[in-house]
Amino acid sequence: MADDAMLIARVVGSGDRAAFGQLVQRHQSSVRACLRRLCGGNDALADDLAQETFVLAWRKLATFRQEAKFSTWLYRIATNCWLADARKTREVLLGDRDDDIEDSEDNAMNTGALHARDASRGSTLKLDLARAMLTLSDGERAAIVQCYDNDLSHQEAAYVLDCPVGTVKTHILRAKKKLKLAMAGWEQESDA
Amino acid sequence: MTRLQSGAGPVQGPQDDWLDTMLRNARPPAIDDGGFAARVMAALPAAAAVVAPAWRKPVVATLWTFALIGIALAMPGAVLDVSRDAYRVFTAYPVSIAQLAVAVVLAATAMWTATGMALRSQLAGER
Repeated sequence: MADDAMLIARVVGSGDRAAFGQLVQRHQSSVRACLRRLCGGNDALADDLAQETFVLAWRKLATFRQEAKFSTWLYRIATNCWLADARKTREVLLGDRDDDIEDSEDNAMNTGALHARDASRGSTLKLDLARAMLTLSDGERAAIVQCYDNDLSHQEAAYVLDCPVGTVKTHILRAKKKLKLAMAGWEQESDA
Repeated sequence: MTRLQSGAGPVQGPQDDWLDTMLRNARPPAIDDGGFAARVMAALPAAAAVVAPAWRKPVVATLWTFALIGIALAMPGAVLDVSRDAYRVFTAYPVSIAQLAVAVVLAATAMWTATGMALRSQLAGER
């Protein structure tokens, strides 16, 4: 299977759409997951932003200079798309997220699929964590998502967020402080 | 070009606390394509902005240099005549220092504007 660099060379060299299609298939899951987390559960918006991310990547691929991994470059574009959208529709995002979470909770209860104790516990933990993530600022949430969900180093996260490494560290420290406060009830359970 | 150091998150190992573990365990699962890639491909503009590869400019410049040297070696008389005439035309219109300064300023302004615009569009492209 061709690696990313070979596919990129084919796209840049001859505008090979099939090669770009392979790149999309390879990276769609991580980019969409990252955006879903950033969008606080608004999956439709996240997928729209993911599509915008790949279209931008297609247009700008010739400017990609391989100083980071291709996936990291995609996260950078995705984060910028999300930030631009969040600035435009901040009120809508904040208003809708609780409803989304409540809907998910209702659905989970109605389907009865999560009756097993462990599954239910895991689901509640994820909902609590999703709620707690909403208390973070844009920068803090983005730093947590990049470093924990996407497994990026501080340096890579700084590249994605277009800020100094020190700022990423500060964002993470502050975010963890807020998350620990919001998730305090889960600390004893995780110790047990 | 230095490549960014890649790694697995900010804190791992003995320093890991319960929140680190919780955040890592809460990673979203892989998402099935479900026609997403096809939608992206349909939304792509007709033609990608294909930019010439980095090696093209130096190769073209080298070829031009060889071509000019070849012409000069093949037709030394003609090249000498053209050079003399060009020199005559240039010296027939003497320019003052002030005019020269204006020309230099204009050229520099044009060059820096072009550089600034190119850098701006490149930075916008990376964002």
